[in-house]
Amino acid sequence: MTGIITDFKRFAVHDGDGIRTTVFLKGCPLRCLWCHNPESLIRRPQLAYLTEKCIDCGACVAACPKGAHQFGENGHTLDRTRCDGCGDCAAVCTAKALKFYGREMTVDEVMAVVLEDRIFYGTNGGMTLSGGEPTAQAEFTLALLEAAGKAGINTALDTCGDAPQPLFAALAPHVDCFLYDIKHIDSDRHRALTGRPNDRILENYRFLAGTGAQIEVRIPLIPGCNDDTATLDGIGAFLNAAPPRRVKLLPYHSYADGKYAALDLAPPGAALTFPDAAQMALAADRLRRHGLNVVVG
Amino acid sequence: MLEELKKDLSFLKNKYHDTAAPFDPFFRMAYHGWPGDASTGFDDAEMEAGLKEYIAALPDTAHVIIKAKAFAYILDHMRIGIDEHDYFPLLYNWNRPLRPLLVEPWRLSREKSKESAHYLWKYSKSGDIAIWLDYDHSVPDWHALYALGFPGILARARQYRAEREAAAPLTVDQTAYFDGIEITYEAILRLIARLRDYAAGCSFPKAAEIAACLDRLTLGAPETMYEQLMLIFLYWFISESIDVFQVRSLGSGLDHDLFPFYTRDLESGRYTAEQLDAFIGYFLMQFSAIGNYWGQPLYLGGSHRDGSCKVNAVSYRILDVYDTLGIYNPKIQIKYGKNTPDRFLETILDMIRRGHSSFVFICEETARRTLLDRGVPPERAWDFDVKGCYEYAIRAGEFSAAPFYLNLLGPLVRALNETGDDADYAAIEARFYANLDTLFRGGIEVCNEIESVLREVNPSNMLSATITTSLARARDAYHDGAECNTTVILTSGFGTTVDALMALKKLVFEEKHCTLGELKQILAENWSDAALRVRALNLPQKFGCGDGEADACAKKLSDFILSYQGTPNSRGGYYKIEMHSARHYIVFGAKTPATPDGRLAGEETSKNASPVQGMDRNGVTGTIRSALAIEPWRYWEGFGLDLMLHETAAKGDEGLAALLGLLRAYDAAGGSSVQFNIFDAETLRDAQQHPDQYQNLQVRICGWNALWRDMPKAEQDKFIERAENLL
Repeated sequence: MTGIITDFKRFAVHDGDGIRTTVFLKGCPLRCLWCHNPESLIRRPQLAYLTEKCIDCGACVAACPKGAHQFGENGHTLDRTRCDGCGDCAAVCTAKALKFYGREMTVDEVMAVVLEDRIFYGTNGGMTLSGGEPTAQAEFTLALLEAAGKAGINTALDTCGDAPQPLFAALAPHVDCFLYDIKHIDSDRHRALTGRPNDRILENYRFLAGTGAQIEVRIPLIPGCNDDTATLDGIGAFLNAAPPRRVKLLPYHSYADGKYAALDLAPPGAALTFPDAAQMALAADRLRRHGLNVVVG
Repeated sequence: MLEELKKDLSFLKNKYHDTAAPFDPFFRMAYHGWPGDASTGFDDAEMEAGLKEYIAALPDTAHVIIKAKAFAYILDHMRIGIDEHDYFPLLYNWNRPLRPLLVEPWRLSREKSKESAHYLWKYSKSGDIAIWLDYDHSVPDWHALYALGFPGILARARQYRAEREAAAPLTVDQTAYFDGIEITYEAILRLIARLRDYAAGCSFPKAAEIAACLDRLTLGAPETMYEQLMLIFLYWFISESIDVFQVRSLGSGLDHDLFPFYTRDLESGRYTAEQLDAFIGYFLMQFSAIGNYWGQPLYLGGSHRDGSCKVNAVSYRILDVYDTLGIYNPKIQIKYGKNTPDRFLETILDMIRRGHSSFVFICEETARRTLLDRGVPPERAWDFDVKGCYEYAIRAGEFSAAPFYLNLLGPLVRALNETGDDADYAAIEARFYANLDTLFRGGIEVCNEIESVLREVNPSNMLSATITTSLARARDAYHDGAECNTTVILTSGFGTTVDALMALKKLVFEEKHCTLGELKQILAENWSDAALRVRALNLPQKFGCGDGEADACAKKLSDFILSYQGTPNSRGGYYKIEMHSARHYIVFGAKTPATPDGRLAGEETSKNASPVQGMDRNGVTGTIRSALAIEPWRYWEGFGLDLMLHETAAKGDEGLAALLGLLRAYDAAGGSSVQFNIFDAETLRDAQQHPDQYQNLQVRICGWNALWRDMPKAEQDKFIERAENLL
């Protein structure tokens, strides 16, 4: 069995407890305006091109069987319509101007990477599956979690919650901690911001909480989208019914703009603004009124 | 009393600095800021002239006697003082201005053979080696000093002399040895009495306290923590500046050493906790005021013999006062292991992430393992001293001189130049190792020769008197009178050398991007092919990334280096290797031409066991895995690893837990010494452009800290380059 991997992040210290290796799986059902991992949205492989790093060596032209890379008067150009995502060009790009997202890997291959840093995991660190949305590669995700369990590696699953409930029932026994996103409490608004309603997401949360699963809820805070009092109170009241061990408020940032540009994509949230420290503190206080353990990430 | 300390800070900070003159961080010692009380002794010029005349009039005798008498002359005639803003005295002759009159360079050159002289000339000029007689790594038997005081140390030496004389007449050398100690310690006691009398004649509030403290030290052992700190300060100052021996630890675990005195002072009601804090503060400021480039080390933590942890209330008091003062010198080493409380380590890690980067963590178990591996008996190996930057030695039993720095890149550059353009990788690699062997063997031969006169050139009168094996043998402790007298070889440029070997292999022989002849030409032209250089820089096979192939290459090189460990030296001991470059990653780098890894001519090389700046692309876990691949526990003298983290990785509770997790993991896996720099590139860039706004920004350099504003731009650029890869 294989899965499509976007990337790995070692020494991940904010993706669950302890020191972890985060495995990013490719593909996500949501289209959040603020998404900071655009390279993870679609399942098929993608090529990122960082213009400023290109040294015009021409190695990609020779490596590409489809003629996607060309050199003309304006230097290097990339015709994405010709690219079939084989990744050969990125492999020969010594300047690291081309980066390939979407490596097909087996469970053993992924686990080999995860186990390299085993000495750092201690008692509570381990592997985090993130994305994209790991449940979008359901079988592979389950197989990875099982393999980690067999190896004695602590597991965390970073999920948007938008997957069939039976899948969560199958995953839950293999997950030490869910990192569960709640982006909005109103389903219509959720649909407008992420492309999907939130009914299933909230239902799955209730289900997981009912199983006694360890859950850290993550709320990306985006001014004008979900930082109003009514929304925060709605989320707070919902969570109060089955409190997670912690709520982490994550400030929206625009660090991903470079990644959108490298993928020739327009950032969907270009008009969004960033919360400042005061806004974060205010939102955290609002949620705490509902008896929640809230931290600002 | 802390309020009093705060009011006195301005005086303390400028105690040795001429604030009108520009501060030069690379100048080994700072300046006489204090003009001195002219009525109490000579200024520099008077002292030098007087001393020359005095020495010239001495009868021709052993240098140990001449040095002791010259030492006594200086102490008897040096300007002294105390100030209303300080609990520690002022001594004029800082900065070793009289060193040339106290050590005997002429004897060194006379004893050196023509072969050695030629070897030194040839390989020093090319930047392959640096060799000199080293007197900068001594730690006295502090426990003996606390127990006996200066008078007791002198009395004990006389007793050893009497016992030996009762058994048989002393030889000329033995007589000189004991005479040297007696002259030295009698002079120290006269100086302390002179300081006491001076204090007694002053009327400001601190004077009586100072006079009483000094009076106690003229009579015997210290009885209070303040007296103990005064003893440490006096020994340190006199040894460093007059006896020309650097004292590379203040106490043998300062927290553990102070604890009984601290407790007694509190229980007896002699001092309040706040007063004791202030004494610690005044003490620490003495070393901050000196501001020497290498930093003044002390260490905290460690274990009792029963396995329990030595961390105590004083450990936290020292950290708290240090944090309040916001200083970076002294630099503090933390001896830690499984039994070290999380709270203690978290306190330090939190200070580090707030900018106090002058801490080094030393894995106690690994250090002890190195002592056991080289045959030190378990009863002596359990309680070792941490000294200098990352080094460890038998407490009060071992003195390791560090005379020999070796640039690992030199032999590789020559191997490239000495092999034909048709050579294969194996041939170049073999030539590299042959060249390296020549350097090790030749350097060891030179060290053996010059170290045979170590004690004649600069006898260690102050130090020897504290060491019982030295007294029992009537032999100089630093030379060959200790249980163990070792010699250290420090290797520089390890990561760059591994990367260069890997780049050579990949670019020329495996991926065939150029021929060997072309690469040589490109390197001779300081990387004239920019595209190839980018290729070289971006190769994945870099040391410090946890890359299997690069780490295997590193292991081979490390094994080769370690094969010289244990070679007998000329002082009855043996050679130890340290993975530590000190400042030679810059010094050697400046003389080293372009190398296949993409490094330009003259650029610094990698330091310690760390990756090349900016090449730690797989983050800290990759860096640690590479370090562990070369087995830090096999390096008998020490093994320094620098980790750089982006500040986002260290923020919040999660960040603190992650830093602690790294420390625990490194210790459990057999790591050795580790230090952190936590930055983001943007801050550093801003600090480069607006130095005035970052007066106190400090960075960990290579076993010591420096203020950012004092670093050369090229060095700053390298730091920024590395920080840019962290996100």
